[in-house]
Amino acid sequence: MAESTLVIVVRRVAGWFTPIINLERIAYILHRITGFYLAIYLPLHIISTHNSLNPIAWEKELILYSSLPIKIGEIFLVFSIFFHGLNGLRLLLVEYFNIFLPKKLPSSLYLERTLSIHNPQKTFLYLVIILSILLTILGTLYLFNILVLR
Amino acid sequence: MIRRAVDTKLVSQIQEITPKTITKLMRVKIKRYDPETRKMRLVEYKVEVSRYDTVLDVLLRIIRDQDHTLSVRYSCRMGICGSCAMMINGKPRLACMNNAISLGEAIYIEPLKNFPPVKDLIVDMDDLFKKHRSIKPWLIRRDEEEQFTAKKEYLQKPEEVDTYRIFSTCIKCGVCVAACPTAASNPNFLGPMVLAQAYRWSADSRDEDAKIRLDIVDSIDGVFGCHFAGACSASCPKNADPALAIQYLRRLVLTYKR
Repeated sequence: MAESTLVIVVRRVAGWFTPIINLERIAYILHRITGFYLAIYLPLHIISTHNSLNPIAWEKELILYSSLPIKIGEIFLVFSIFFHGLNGLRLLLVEYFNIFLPKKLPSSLYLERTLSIHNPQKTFLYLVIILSILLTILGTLYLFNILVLR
Repeated sequence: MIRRAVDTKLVSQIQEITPKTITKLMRVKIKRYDPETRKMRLVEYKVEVSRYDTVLDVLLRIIRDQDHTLSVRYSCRMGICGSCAMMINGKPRLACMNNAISLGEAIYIEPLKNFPPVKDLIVDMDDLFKKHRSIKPWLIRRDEEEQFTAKKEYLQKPEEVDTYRIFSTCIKCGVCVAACPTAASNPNFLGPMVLAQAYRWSADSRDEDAKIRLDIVDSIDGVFGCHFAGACSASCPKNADPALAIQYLRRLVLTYKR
């Protein structure tokens, strides 16, 4: 019996998530999750700000935005913006500008460890993750008016 | 830095085992595919495992002592033929290159991901080999007649061999394809093995027409379908680093003078 389109789509998307073997794979998954999150957020944001023309609807929305799930969603939004942007930049530099590609490969038949998922490419990924977390913390503090920029 | 990768992996696995342990009763859960019902079923076996047994040894012991209907594909038993690739405890590996006792209390074995199952742990790899053939994995010479009636060898300098040598250790086992998220979501994607081999042959100084090969891989189902999850290189039993070969291949596609 032929599989339905929905089953095929679900099975293919599920293929992104397993098996998790390395950190690059986690970055790959996070890149997709944050990408989807931003793609859903942007049209919702436009619809939501359009509601500001109606004071009653806008008032209701402001109450909704002060709830805890929305606040958590906002923190993840800050993370999504920084992680997706920085990781995209990393992929562009590594994959298209080949900034870490070795000029010469080792004169050996077997490698003790693979070069693409170890230094310096790995260090660059660590840098992206650390920077994303730091910027998320700063962004969250700014978002909740704990940190005020002058 | 450079040593025999396979040997060090096995030695470290064996060193983790307590020296006193001689045999251990292990639970082996196998997800078997039944071609008649087209369904998977989980079967559990209990096997006495000695400290030097590989997962393949364990499977062969099950076939010999407990269930002769279990189907497994294998040949060399030493990580050369690439026949016994399967999902072991959730990760794609070669059954003959993994020490069983170091995998914990239980071993969970499934057919290789991203390949259609044929029976039990055997998967259909025809599509992979068809894709491999499509990138012309051989030396392409301008003078074909000369190639088949060559009077002398095509000589290479050692540094010319270095440009592709590590990628030539690929045994076409399909482990990298099972680990690849793009291969899981796009069945037309050529896959890490095929793309790495496309670079291996295109980088060979004896090859005279890489353009044919590069035209084939220059697409979203080819080299531009890879988004660098690195799982292929992390799982490769030979450390042939397909992700690195794809990075070189992409540079070659973008810079090749046509």
